[in-house]
Amino acid sequence: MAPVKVFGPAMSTNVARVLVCLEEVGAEYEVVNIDFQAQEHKSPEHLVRNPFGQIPAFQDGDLLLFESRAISKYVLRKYKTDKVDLLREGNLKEAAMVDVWTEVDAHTYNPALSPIVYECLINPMMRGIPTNQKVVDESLEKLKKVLEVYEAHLSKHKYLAGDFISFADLNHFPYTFYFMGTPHAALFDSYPHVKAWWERIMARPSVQKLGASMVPPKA
Amino acid sequence: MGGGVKVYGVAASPFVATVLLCLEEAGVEDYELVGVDMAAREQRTQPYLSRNPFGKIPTFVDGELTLFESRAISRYVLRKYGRTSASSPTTAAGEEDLLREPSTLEESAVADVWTEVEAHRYTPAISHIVRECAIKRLIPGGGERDQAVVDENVAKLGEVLDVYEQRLSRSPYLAGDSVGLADLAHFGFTYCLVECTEYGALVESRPGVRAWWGRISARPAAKKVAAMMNLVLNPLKMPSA
Repeated sequence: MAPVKVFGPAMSTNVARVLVCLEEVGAEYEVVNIDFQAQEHKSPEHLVRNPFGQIPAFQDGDLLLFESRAISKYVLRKYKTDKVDLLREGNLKEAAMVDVWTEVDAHTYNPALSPIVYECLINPMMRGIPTNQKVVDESLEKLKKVLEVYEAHLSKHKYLAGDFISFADLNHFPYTFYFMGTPHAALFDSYPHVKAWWERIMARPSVQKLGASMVPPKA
Repeated sequence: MGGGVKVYGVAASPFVATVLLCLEEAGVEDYELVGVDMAAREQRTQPYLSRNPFGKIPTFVDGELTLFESRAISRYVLRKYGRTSASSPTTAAGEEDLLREPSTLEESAVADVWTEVEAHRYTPAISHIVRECAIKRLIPGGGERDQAVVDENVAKLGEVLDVYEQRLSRSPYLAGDSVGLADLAHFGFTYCLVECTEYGALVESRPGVRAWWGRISARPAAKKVAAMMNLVLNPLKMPSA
């Protein structure tokens, strides 16, 4: 069976989302770089894989997919075992909790946290655009409110969907990893249960392996 | 079936409408829509916050299970209650319009792709248009329309719909051959766009998209949810041509 292919650089947050799932299930995969400088993401070849011209894209035989969370779920379903079940789709309630906190990451946590990553790391380091401190300050205020809710929740549960690691937790990895490379990493110290949860995620072999190829530039 | 199912929110909210549509499609008859006084910011106070600590609508209760986030709720409803659609239009071929769970890994993945597209590309653009052109007119002191925001998002939504046109010229539904959550999750905002703003042409001018919207909005479940939304949205409706 040919390894599946993930198109896009391993450093990219949404590519990393897919890769951490592939690592968790132990699937064989190949990362195929897409050269943004050469506009490869807008090439006809890539637009067949992802009509929005973005990364990641994914190929398994004849199947082409895009959208990192859709790709990730396909991977987690295909390679699911009794030991590695990160979606819990056999249990209505557990699956619902995985979905809830996956949505919370996408629509509440990440919109508060990712602007800080863009302003403090991506814009200055990769785009030559200076940090917009107003955006950072507004985002920090939003993020604190979100982390208060996470703190209360994680004081009752070891992981977001319950006492088991799931796709919901892993979704938080890529952007939070980069957040820890910004000057605001110490924010998590104010939320001890959130910090402990984050350290549990970081300790996972899959995350350790990917983190090594995602070394954030020092802010 | 469905005793003890409650949805907290207002039907005019497109996110609430998604959940209501899935309940209707799944044939859940005895759910209760519990109103939330948005003007008084009830969703930001107790006891609402004890059900949904993020203070947004909808929130959903099924017996002892409490959920939030409309797409998470919808997936749960369809998994638990919805093997067949109770209210689909019957066709000569019988079961074509039934809402069914994808039966293969590939079908599930493709359905997920288009649900993600709805969440991350369609809804972010359309929600700005609907907020500026319709919602603001509803809320006392809602403020003036920001036409620059509208124009920017009309352009973005147009680009997204160009991709949809490609997809829907090859497939009757975004999810695939059968309707799915990927399609239904578009209902609320698209209804508001077409009925309550002057930007319905974004949908009407693209033949594949227009035909798809026609199929979705003709579903009895969709008509029922539209009627619930109309209780609030009627004053905003565009006059018929």
